[in-house]
Amino acid sequence: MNFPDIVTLATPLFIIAILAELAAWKTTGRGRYETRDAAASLVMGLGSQIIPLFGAKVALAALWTWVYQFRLFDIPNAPWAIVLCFVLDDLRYYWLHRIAHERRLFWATHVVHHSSQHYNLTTALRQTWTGSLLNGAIFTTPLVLLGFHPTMIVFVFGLNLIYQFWIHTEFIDKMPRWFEWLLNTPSHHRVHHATNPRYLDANYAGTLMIWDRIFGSFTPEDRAEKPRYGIVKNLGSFNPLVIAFSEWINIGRDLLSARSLRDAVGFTLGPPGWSPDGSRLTSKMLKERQARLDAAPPLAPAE
Amino acid sequence: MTQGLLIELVLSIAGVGLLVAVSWMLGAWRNAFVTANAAADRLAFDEPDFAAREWLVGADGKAAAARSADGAEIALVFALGDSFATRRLARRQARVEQRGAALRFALGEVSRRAVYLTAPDEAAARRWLSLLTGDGV
Repeated sequence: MNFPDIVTLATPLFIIAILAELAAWKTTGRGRYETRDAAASLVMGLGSQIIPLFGAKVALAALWTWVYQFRLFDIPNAPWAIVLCFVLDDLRYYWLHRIAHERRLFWATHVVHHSSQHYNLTTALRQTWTGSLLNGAIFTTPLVLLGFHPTMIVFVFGLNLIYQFWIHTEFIDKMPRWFEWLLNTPSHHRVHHATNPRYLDANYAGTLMIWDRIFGSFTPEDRAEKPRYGIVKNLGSFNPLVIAFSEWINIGRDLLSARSLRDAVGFTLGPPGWSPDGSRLTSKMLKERQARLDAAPPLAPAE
Repeated sequence: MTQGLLIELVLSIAGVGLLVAVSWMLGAWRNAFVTANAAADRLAFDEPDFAAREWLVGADGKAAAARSADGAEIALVFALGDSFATRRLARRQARVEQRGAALRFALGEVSRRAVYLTAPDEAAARRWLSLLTGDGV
């Protein structure tokens, strides 16, 4: 069975959908667009498709071809196998995504996707330039070892990516209740992109929302608290090179300042925001700070 | 690089160009203006435990700075496109210098080397430099 390159095939649909959302933004005033932000997202998306061609795709193909020889099962390229592969790949995506938020080494690749303060269809395309090899080698190889053919895995991951495109919008409020329960939606994913403390580190699902419900990371969108998008310490630039590499450079600087092995491990495998002296804030600390402030009287206004 | 790949690449670049051009033509190239209210709102969200004592809002609407009630910290709010970003600096470690009527806050970050804040005049800039870094109260 030959699997098509569906992400490339879907690209014209992405363009048409973004044009439609732009037109809707202009005519209704809903949502937000900013040209430099959108341009940065689009260039990141373009780069994420091109850069792996210079080595990562070949390396992954070689690794998976080698591992496939030792597969545990001979899984045929049948429709049931594609469905099973999709579900297992979605579970793989959930854990990769969760770890990408909880461990800084992986966050350095994923922060790119969260670096926009806007939430529109271009944000969906703001993808990492540096994650495909590491993520593919660590998290996807087990599926190859199980016996799913690598081309099938690439195909179902493409389906997952395409599914996740349409949920990056503020134009859709809520889907029907059964849909919201089972699948990832714009509402669930707005929570995921929000920096409001109560929304941090939630809703990691790719397509099936059940993973968040099973593993305890589901947070519903509260109409009383509108999501504010971006990252806790927003970047000061639209430069795609800065967006792609700033967190890697920050890790490098921190490692140079590390005084012990514990510091070095913390700076790479600790949660984003970890620091030896606790002077920076992790998601957990941000949530605790907010809880303290919510329990305390409001601050006095400035003069 | 195969011919098919080259065609895909050219079409993708054209698609990006089209979307950026349409976005610009529809008026999406927008600059936020930092006002006192906007800066306070943003700081309250990003750094809710920062009690601002006094604000200097740039005359050009590009940035604002506040010193904390205890005088130990400085908060910066600066415009980025139609949005804002904030930074919280320890007063003792802040690298601030005066350049005419402007104050330059060195951040030394990959994404932003410095933020410039334009005071109403040189005297105001001098006063704020003293407040932010010296013994001014």
